[in-house]
Amino acid sequence: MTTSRALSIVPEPEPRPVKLSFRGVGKSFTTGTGTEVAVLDDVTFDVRTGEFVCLIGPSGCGKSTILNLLAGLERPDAGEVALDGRPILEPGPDRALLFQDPALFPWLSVRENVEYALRLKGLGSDEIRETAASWLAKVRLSAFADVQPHELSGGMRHRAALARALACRPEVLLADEPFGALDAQMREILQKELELVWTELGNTFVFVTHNVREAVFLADRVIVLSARPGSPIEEYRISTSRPRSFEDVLVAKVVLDIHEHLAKEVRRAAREEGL
Amino acid sequence: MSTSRRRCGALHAKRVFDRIWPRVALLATILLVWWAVYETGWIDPSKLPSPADVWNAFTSNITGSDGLLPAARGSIIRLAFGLSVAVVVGTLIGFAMVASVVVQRSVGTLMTALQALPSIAWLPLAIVWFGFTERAVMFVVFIGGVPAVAIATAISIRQVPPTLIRAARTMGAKGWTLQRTVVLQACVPGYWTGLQQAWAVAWRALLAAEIIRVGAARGLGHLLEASLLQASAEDTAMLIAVMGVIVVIGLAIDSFFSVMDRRIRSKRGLLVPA
Repeated sequence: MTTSRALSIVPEPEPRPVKLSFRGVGKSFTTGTGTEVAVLDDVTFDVRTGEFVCLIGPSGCGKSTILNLLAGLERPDAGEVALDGRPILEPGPDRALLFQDPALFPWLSVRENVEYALRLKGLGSDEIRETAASWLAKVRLSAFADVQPHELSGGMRHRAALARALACRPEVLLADEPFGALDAQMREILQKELELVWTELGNTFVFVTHNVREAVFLADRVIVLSARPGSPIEEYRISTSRPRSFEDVLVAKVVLDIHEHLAKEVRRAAREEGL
Repeated sequence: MSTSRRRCGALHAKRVFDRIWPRVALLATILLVWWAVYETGWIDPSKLPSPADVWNAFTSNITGSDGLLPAARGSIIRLAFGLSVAVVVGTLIGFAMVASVVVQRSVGTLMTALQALPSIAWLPLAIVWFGFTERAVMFVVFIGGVPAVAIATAISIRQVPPTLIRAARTMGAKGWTLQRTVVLQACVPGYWTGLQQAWAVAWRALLAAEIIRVGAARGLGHLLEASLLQASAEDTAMLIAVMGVIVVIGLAIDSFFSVMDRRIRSKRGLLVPA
């Protein structure tokens, strides 16, 4: 159903084991007026270990629902969502989820926020303190460890949330438009930081965005979803070496290509709705 | 550095002054008008004694068996006891309202209904049940405080931002750990507002009960009622003095709640800087 376009002539890397898999997943919600709305329909895709996958699609196409299913916050109505071949039944510290809202706990200091996740894992107090400190150093917030979240700037809050999510060493990092509410400059800085962290840790990464440039800048693979009910319609494998630049011809081309594809999809959906 | 510290001190002094002068000014104005009215002699001194008479009534009635101090102590102990029980029971009811839709629809509606009923309206029934006893006073304080606490508990828990709960769940928090570390922390500001309302309701219910001579030990309400008997100038002065004491105690308790409230909110960034 989906086609994969190699964008440069680089030999395909040895395929790594499948980490996350969606098999014929369907999900619908009941609206306030009682009508059933299908959000996902027969969605099938795999994410391999250590892969950075971006999901992109028109708004309302069920991108966030895919993440919630992977996080275990919701259950599919049909099909199966699996981690390492085992169905995902509930949330767990092996999968971290970043939201558009950093969702830091306002009653805890920045340090305590990072320590919170570690404490849940049942680590010893020395280890908790050391791990939290090292993560705060990694996101350059050591000087703000004892400050309350509301005293941080927007970008700093996102970095704190990143430290909190990664401190537990999750195998999978899920992100739901984490920089959606930030200005373009801050967004770019955080993207670079995220990429750095990802290269260092080698986590499997599923990133939802509606920003095409962001997706192409970060991902190994971009999956384009159709309008509601969402399902993958196109897939781009981006093997350009990192760090990427938007001046790179291949990167620029694929950005244009995805934009065109999305525009076509949005127009198609609008026609179907009779707009 | 010493200059900056001195400037800091001066700034602090100015801030304290800014906070205090409107209150002092209002109090002075009230006293001045009161005194002026008294001096004109239009009003019978047995109806409106001078501020000095009230001050005398206050200073000469502080101690002694019918004094203000034992009465204030009696009222405060009653309030503390009745309110404590109301807070414990109200909080538990609030939790149950959140946990179960059936409880919300039944007991939750009852709580709203109780809030519509002034707690003083319970007094006759409380006297029928318990007589003019301490238990009747406690009951009225209790029944006044419970709905406020229960409703505030339920609302504050329902208003915990879902994103915080989702964040905690993705980090592996669930069950009691999730409740304790997130829900019970996030609901504190709203809960505290509920306590602030509850104490005021309970305090008014308590004084009302005392005024109609319910309860064995002396309270401020009893003193109000006792001062009503002869309606002499001295008694009226005492009446106003007791009212003043009630107001001052109320302000003191309220400022405790307000200071704590400000602390809770400023830590969470919920305080809009003035």
